Amino acid sequence: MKKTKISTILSLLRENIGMMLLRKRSYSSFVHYPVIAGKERSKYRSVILRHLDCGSCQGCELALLRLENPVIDILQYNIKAEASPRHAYFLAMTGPITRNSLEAAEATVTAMPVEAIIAVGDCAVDGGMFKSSYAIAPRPNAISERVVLEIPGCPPSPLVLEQKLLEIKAK
Amino acid sequence: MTNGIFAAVQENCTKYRNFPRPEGELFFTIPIRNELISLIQFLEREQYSLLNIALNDERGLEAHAYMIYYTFSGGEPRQFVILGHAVNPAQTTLLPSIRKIYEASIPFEQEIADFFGLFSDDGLSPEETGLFLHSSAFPVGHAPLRQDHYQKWLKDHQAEELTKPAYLNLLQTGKSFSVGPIHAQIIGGGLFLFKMKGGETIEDVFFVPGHQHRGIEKMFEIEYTLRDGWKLAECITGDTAFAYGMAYCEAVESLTQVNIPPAANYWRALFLELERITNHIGDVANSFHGISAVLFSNRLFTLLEACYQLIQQITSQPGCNPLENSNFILRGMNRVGGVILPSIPNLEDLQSTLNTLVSEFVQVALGGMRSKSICKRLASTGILTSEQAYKVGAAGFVARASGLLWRDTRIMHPHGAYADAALNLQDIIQETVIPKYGERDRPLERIAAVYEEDLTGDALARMAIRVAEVEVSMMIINRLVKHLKRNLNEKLCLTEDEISQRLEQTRRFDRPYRFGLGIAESWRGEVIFQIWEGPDNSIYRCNFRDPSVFNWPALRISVQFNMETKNRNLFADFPVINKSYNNSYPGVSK
Repeated sequence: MKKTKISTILSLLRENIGMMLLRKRSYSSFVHYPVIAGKERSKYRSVILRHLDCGSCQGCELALLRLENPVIDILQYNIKAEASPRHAYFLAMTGPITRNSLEAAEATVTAMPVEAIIAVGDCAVDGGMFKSSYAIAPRPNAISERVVLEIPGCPPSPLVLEQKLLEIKAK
Repeated sequence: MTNGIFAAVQENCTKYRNFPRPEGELFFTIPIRNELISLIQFLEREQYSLLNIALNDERGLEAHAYMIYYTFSGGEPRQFVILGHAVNPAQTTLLPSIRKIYEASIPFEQEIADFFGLFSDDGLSPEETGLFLHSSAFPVGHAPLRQDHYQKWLKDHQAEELTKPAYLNLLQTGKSFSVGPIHAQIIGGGLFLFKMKGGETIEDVFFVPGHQHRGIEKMFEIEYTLRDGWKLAECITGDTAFAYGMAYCEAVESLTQVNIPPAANYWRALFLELERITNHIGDVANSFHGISAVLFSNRLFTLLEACYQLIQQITSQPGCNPLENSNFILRGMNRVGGVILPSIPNLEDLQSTLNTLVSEFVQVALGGMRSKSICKRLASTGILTSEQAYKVGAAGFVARASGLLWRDTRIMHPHGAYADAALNLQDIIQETVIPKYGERDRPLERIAAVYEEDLTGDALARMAIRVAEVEVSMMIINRLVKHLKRNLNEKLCLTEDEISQRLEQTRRFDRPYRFGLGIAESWRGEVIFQIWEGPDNSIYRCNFRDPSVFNWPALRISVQFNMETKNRNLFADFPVINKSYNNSYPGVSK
């Protein structure tokens, strides 16, 4: 028997569920939302971030906060910051990972359902200008293995941040 | 020069060594501990305020001891008084403690205990040590700022046991819990230990700063020279980058006796005020956001974005897209010897944009504060009385919101553009610190109280003082622009040769390894750099002090339950109070 890929099953399910929902509420006045399937859907997937500070200078935090203001308004692309790592798809990590914050950082990473890290800023990418300091921890594999995207810049400009986050959304 | 301290010291002048210092500074070394303590007691009676305590390992130098330097400010006219005291490890390893005279010295004692492994003779409780180098990450005995510390120390002592940090013992008593170091917002990392009174009322809160400790003071010594240290100084705190760079450069300029061109001073003052405007707008917006006043916060966030884009325009290279420029926090313009601009900004544009921004900000912010629900939420939340503020040595707008209007280094120790007689900025700062609005403009009684004499030190007062300061900053910028327009083509920075020539003079102030003091009034309060010079223009020791060193203890007091001041805060008030302070996490962690 030919094996069916899980992804196709999922997309079939999604379509069916969508149809079921539509059938349930088939009033004449109901506005039918388009059912998005397959590749099209991933375009509309939301990206939920959890911020993790590992000793940054707050420059990257200012850049991340700038994304949320009404002018740039990253929420329009369904990219948002959540308060709990349990709800997050990606960890937006800033700072060079200091020895003092290592324990908390590892605990946050393991608390995530899917452990994927976005390194925001030069410090988070490779330690930046602080990498030679005694207070910076040697980067643990648990963290460096899980970095899926690196956004360099000191701090990264919001335009670059926005572009990179939209890239990851399209994947 | 007949002020109090000088008269007091004069009788013992032969005994105390008095070193030549730049104008406005006095420096004595006092060898005997009892005399040091009695002199500091005298300073306390004369209402001098403690600005900094720095320890320097001079065992390999002339002193053959650890030298502890106390920096005070006071007198008439105001001066920096620096007292040096040698602690010879052959005789004693205990430092003189002045916590009974100056409560503000406690954070410094905690710092020195961690970074040098030296304790004060008054005794630190075990919970007070290990705040910067947590014992869960660093083995005991790691004293990184001693000169005999070497880079592989941690590797050699890897096998040693790490223990649970002692500050966690505070949690075991009573109803207590911890919040942090990872917080539920986009914010810095720090650990708060709360002690509850039962129910929702907070009894006490304890802040553990060290999670962002990056070992910056040691990095200055190892990797940077006097010339390029500004790069690291600007990366200490992102939101105060310009003030840090400015204070660093001023310290080196004071050390090497460099006089920078007057136009450079004007630009420095302009950017310092621009940084103040930007951050105050952001903080007021955040405060509104924190109490769900979205109508006002969204408008202010839009203004904040406009400020950032203005800065991006100023700092971008000509011909580049300013929006792609990552420098929206005023980095990279300070140099030892002046200011370097990517291109001279269009001053008329800058002035008109900022004026519109600021006038709209004031309208929106005052509109928000006049709304009864917001006003009642902020008023009498997190009270810091002026006596408490004076006691902990609160700095910057926090002290001014509690009524200590003189606590502003732009007035206390005017230097650079602030001391320029042609500009006369003193008048603006002194006369208009609290703007007086017409009757029509302040319908609410509470706002009137805040704006006149009754600065009660609550969250509303801190918001009001920010609004007032933004207006003052705008007036300063207007006057600076008027003067800058006249001579746009003036030299802004000394040439490389001129600076090198200055730096090559090895003997400064009559003794090697002298220090330079640099001070800048950032939006949080004064930033201080104290830099000792090593051989070949290297940095022997670089000590810096963030205003939040004093303002974290101030935050603790304004959250604490207090019957006398009727200060009673619920747990839900804590974020409101914290936002009204917006203290620095990385600045205090070092």
